[in-house]
Formats: sequence, structure tokens, C-alpha cells
Amino acid sequence: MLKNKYKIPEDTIKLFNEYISDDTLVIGILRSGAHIPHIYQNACRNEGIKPQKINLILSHMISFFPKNFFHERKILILDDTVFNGSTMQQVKDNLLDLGADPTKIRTATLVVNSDSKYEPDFPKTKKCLDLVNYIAWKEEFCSIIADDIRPTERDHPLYYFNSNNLRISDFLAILQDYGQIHSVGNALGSVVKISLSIDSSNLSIPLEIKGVDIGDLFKIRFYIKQIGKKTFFTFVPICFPTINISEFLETSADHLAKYFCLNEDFFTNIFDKFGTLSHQMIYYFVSRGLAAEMLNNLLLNIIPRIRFSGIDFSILNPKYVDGSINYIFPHEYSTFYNTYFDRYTQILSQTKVFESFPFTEKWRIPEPYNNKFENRKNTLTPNTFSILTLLVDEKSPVFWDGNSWIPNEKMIGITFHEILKKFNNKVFISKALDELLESGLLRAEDGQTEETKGGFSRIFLPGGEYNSIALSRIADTFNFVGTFQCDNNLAEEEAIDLWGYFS
Amino acid sequence: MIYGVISHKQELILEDRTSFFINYAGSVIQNELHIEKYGVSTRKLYKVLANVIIDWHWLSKINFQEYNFSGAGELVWIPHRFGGIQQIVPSVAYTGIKKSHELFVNILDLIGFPEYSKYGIRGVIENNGQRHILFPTSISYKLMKKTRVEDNERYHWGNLIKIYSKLPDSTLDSLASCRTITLCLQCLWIQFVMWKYYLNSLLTSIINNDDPFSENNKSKIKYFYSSSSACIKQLFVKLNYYNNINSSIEELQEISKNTEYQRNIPCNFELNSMQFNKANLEIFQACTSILESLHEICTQFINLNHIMNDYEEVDFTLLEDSLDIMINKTQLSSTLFDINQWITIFLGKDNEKEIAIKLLTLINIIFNHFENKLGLQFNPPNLHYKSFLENQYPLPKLHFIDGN
Repeated sequence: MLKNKYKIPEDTIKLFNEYISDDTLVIGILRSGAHIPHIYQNACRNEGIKPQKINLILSHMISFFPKNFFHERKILILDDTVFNGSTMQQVKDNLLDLGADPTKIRTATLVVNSDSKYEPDFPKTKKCLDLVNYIAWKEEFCSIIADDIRPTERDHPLYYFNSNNLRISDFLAILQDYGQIHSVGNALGSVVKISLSIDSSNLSIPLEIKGVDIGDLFKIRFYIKQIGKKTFFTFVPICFPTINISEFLETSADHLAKYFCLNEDFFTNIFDKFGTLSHQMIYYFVSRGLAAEMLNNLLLNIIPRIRFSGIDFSILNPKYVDGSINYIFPHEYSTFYNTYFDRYTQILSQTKVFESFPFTEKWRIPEPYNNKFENRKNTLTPNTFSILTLLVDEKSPVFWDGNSWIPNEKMIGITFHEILKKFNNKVFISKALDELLESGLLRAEDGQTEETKGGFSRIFLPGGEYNSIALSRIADTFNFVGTFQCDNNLAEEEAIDLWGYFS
Repeated sequence: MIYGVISHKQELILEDRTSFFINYAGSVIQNELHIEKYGVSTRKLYKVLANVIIDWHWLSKINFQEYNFSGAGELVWIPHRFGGIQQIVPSVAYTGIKKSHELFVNILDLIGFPEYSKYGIRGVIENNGQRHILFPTSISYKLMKKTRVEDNERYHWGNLIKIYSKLPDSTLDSLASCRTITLCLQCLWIQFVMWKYYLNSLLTSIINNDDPFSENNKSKIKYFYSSSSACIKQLFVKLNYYNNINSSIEELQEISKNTEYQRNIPCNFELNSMQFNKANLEIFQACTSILESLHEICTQFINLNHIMNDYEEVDFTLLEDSLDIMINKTQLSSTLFDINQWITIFLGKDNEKEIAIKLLTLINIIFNHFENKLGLQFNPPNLHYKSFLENQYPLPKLHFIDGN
């Protein structure tokens, strides 16, 4: 049973019952707002109530829809909390730019920070929390999400599978041949989260793709939950390429589209439709396509091994997993996703019987991470947090206004490659990023930095709100250069004085 | 089952609050007593914080509107052979830092790390056999505002620290250990636990050692014996504190009389769920005199072997008196209470192992008696403290917010 001090499931039922109808288009703000409909759905099931149908668009895809898609639509922008309202306002502005009717847009959150000057429209009776309770509320909310089979990051396609007889331990034993595995987060929920870091060289694209640097590492996150005798899996393939969109469109777009088994004008059609506003969308599909290809390679290797062991393993249509949540995706996304869904289905449907154990193609495994690597600082805080120091090098995530620390909304993100230049172990970085994203201290998005020189990449930024102050505080710890060194003898004497020799 | 594990982020918040509470307390004590040059002794720090922690829990429980505190970080009040003291039970699983009794981290192990030293800790020195921490002389408002300690918490924490820092050591000890019957009984209980632990260790080191009185083993025995003697002494000190607690309370109220806390501290409430009551204090008092007698027998054994530098010869009168007290007060019958047995083995040659075994058996009998009378267990310290923190914590904390 999860903690329920703040009655979050009950609040979601109230919110949806009162303010959302089946003609409402809900825009779920990443990351947390996007989870609320699922919390609502689970809460209804637990109460024995039939959940209503929710039409949901994830906020990162707003600009992927054609102009006027939102015209005349009844829209509700949904987030878990409001701290100062900038995120909500930005999403609203984006919708207005895309032709949404301002009189038909409403905003809703479950709680509001008591210091926030922004007031969402719903609920009418706001739940205002002071900062301490606000943070505690967020932690409780995150623990509910941790119990869901969807990752916190919602801007990656998710591929669902299940099995009646695959043990998690057997699954991990297979994965170990393909990369370094580590767990994510602590044991707060019933979902096991595993990350597999894969060397980029294991994806060999048999053609030259200009304008695309596939990056230093791929990863696949696995969210595994056992319900009764069945085990459910969510696979989330991720990579960190840098793409010069113009160069890519000029030289390689059709080749790569074909490689992805899409129509060769997939990318150029996007550009024709959206013009210069298409770059983010193109980056999205190229990067997710590369990641999906790596997953394709992995499945080609592990499925025969799973079959050889007599284990059944199937792919699930997302509609089965989403229940009453009706995700609305742009046409291009549906094409993309269905293509990979069909390809994975085909891999799983192969029934070739092996007479002997299938030979596993030798995968290059990234160098493992151990605690003794050179950048270790002498702190109490786990070294995975030391990555945060990079974010404060160029610009502080907070600034002092003479009275309090204010989050700096003009932060510059960093790329995986920049992090690798300082912390030269890919697996360490992969693990650290997982922890920091899971904790909310960092967030990730597709964007541009100076380092990408006009290209797009996956960038990491401070988590926003109070997380910026927490990030700054942790970075201060790692950057602190003090002159004090405690004499070990005195510490020893203190311990003996208090506890004796033999405790 | 509620998922009680907190997230990594909450662990870091707890650590942040703890390090600030400690640094700020140290800085305030220094300023109040003008001892910036000498620092704050760890003993004083533990005692001041022990008192403030008690009030921190109760003020916020009884009057949350006025004292809206989110928690006490990782600081806990514990009963100790020194009386009630503050210790740190970290939520972060530190690597490379030893924990005493698998629970408590040594503050001197922590303050060398930037999480603690970033406020400006200047060093640690030794003075009169005690360790003194040179805390920051001041902490800037800008730095304070970056912590997860709210303005109102900082205000009240500093004020309470100021008040308690002005008290003499004995009053600090008295209020930290015995301001309520529950705290007093916890402090008496731990003396029994530690006494038993020391004597078990002492006697086992004799039984299991081929050369029990080698220089190396002798120093161990001396240490255990001195520590157990201190436990006996402390029992009477604490009982005296409890019987005279009103004078300690008056001393505190005199200091706090012109502050907003004058009517509120020291908080001396009791948790309803706690099992101790007045009847148990009387039983504890009765058990104390039995334990004193048992200790006397052990003392005679120590004298027999000339362990201590200032040993006396064996006093058989004291031995017999002690056995008589035990017979009368326990109403137990055992051949182990027969003075003739003890005289025979004491006067025998090379009988130290036999005497040690007999003493161990006697200790077990007496402590079984204590357990029956008091309804309490006398486990080794590890288990005792674990059980204390999980089941016996005498301060309210359910009203605090997780991760604070």
C-alpha cells in the first residue's frame, strides 16, 4: 500500500469528474501532468468506479500537430502542481500560437504552491501548500508514479510486452550479454526499473548518414511489474544523438527513412508541412528511430534465446495498456510507432526452432563503472550527483535577489557528450543521469546548445521549481574547497568515549 | 505496509537539515558563551541539542500553529550512559563511515565532509580530554536561505539553543535525562543494559583467554570494570536528578523568563503509548540497589586479581552483605547466594575462570529477575538501541513531515 497522506488518488477522481468531459482535449504537461490521467484511472479501478474516457495529448507533441488542429477544441492544460506558473503559461502560449481559441482553454492542477501568483482555473477550491508540504506532496506523487509501468520521462515511445513465465532474474541474465545493467531509483514501488547501457558501435547503419552523430551511448530502460503470474514489461529505447537538421535533410533524410522502414519522404514531408518549425519534430523522429533500431537489434538477439528456453513473450498493443486513456498522436507519430510495432511483432512471431543454443553475436560492452574512477570527490553525497556541478559551471541555476533564491529560468542545458568530456565513463554517466532524472533534480528535453552548434541534441537541465535550489545546494557541496581536515585520532577518541572500544 | 523508504532526494534534504541544525547550534552556543576561540565540546553540544530536540518535538506537537516545525532532521534523543544525549541516525547509506551499534554516526566523522564543513567549521581541538568543534563564527543569511530549514524553524532553533546553552552542565544533564518519568526510566534502563554488557564482556574475556591477565587483556578488563562502575554511579545521579527535577526546571525558567518560551519550556509531556509509569520507577530503584550489590561482588573479584591500580584487598564482609541484600530483595533462592561457595572459590588458587563463570551465571539470574519485575528486556546495546528507536521513542514524531 502506498502512502496516502495527501489523498492524491481521491483528488484526481474529483478533478476529472468535475471538470473533464469526453469532449475535452487534455494536454498533459511533461513530466508529471502526463501521469495524472493514469493515476485517475487506477484510482477509479481501486474504488470500483468505471473511469471516463480521457483524450490526452502529451505537451511535448503540441507543435507536432498541424496548425488549426486545436482550433475550436475545448482544451484543458493539466499539471500536477503550480510553482510559479511559467510552464503552464508557456504551454498556453504555444497553443494560442497554434490557433487554439483562448476562450476554450482552461488550466488545472492538483496543488498550488502557496507563494505562487499563478492561479489555475481548476479546481475552483484550490489546494494550496506551503513549500515543505509542497515538496512532501511531490514526493508522494512521485511514489505513485514509481508504481506505474510508464517511465517518469514521457517523451519517448513506449513498447509494451508481457510474459507468463519469464522470471526477472532470467531476463537480467540474458541482458548482461548486451551491455551494462543497473537499477534505477530505490525500492519505492512494485515496479523494478532496470537500465541497460549499450555501446553505440552495436548499431551499425550500413550507409553514410550525414548530419547525424549517433552519440556515445544507447540505453534501454525496462520497467518490469509482476501482476499475478504475468510479468509486464515496458521497454524504452533512448539515445543521445546530435543532428544538424539542415544537413541531414539535404543529404540523408530519405536514406535514413528507408532504413527505418518508413516511406523515404517521411522526414521531408514533415519539413514541407511545418517548415523551419519542423526541426524539433525531425530530431524527435530521427533520435527515437535510432533508438528503436537498437531495440530492434536487441530483440533479434534476445528473442531466440527466450524462445529457446521455452518462455513465451509477446508484444502488447498500447491500447490494451492505456485502458480508457485515449492518446491522441499526430499522424506522423502513429506511422512511426506502428512501423516499429509491426517490426517487433514480426521478430516475436518467428517460430524457428533452434536445435542448439543460438550463437550470440558478440556485442561490445561499455566499460563498467566502479567507485574508484578518478573523478571521485570526497563527499558524503553519492558521486552520481557530482554531474550537477557541470550545470552550474556556466550559469547558476538560482540567483539571489537579496531576500531569497530564485530559480534561473534561462539555464543552458548540457549534452551527454559534454558530460562525457569531464566524467569519462559512459556507464557512470548513464547511471547518474537516470538517478538525477528520476529524482527530479534534472529534466531532459530535445533542444539546442552552443555545443551542438545549431544542431539538436538531448539536453539536460535543472529540474525547475525548488529543484533548482536543491541542485545548487548539491553543486555547492561538490565545489566546496575547505581548509578543514579532521584528525582521525580525535574522531577515534570521540567514538571510544561515547561507545567504548567494542561497539 | 506503507512504503516507508524515502527517496534519495528526501535523504539529501534530511542530511541538509541535519548539518544546518548542528552548525547553527554550534555557532549560536559559541556566540552566546563567547567561546569562539575554544569551540564547543561535543559533550556540551550533545546535551544542549538533547534538550532542544525534546522541546522541538513537543512544541510543534502541542501548538502547531505557533511552532510549525517540519522535523528534527536526523537528530535523535537517545538514553546513553552519559544520560540523555543527541545523536545522528543518518538516512543516507554512507560508505566508509563506521556506525556505532549499526545506528549512530560519529559527528567528528561527518564534519570533515563538505556537507557539514561548508558552513565554515574551522577545526577540532582537544581540551581537557574532550573534543571541541570550532564551529563557524557566523553563517550568512544568504547561505541559510539555501538550506531546507524554513525561516521560522531557524528562528526558534537558534533561540532554544541560546537558552539551553546558558545552563550549567549538571542542569543540562538533568533536564536532558530526567525531565519526565519516561526519560528518566529510559536513562536508568540503559545503565542496566550497559552494565550487563560491560560485565559480560569483562567476564567473557577472562573465560575465553588462555592468559586472562596479560597486559593486553588486563587493560580491557580495567576498561570494562571502570565503565560498569560509572553505570552504577550514574544510576544514583539520575535518580537524584529526577527527585530534584523541579530545581532544574526553575533554573531553566529563570533563564527563559523574558523570552516567548517562558511558559512553554521545558516541555515535560508524556506519550500516552509509553508503558512506563511511577510504579516502575520504584521497581527500578529497588533493582538499582540489587545491581549495586551485584557490582560489589564483581568489585571483590576485581580486587582479588589486583586488576585496578588502586585495588583493595578482598573484603569478605562486603561480599556477604551483598549476597544478603540480593537474597532479601529478590526472594530468589539459589546456591549461588551461598557465601561459603564464594569464600571457597575466592580463596582457591587459579580459580579466576571458575569465579568468572559463576559470576556470569549470577548475573543472568539477577537480570532474569529484573526482566520479570520490570517487564523489560536487557539486550546487548545494538539490539536495545534498535528497539528503542523503532518501538520506544519517547517523543512524538508522526506530526512531522517525511523527509524533514
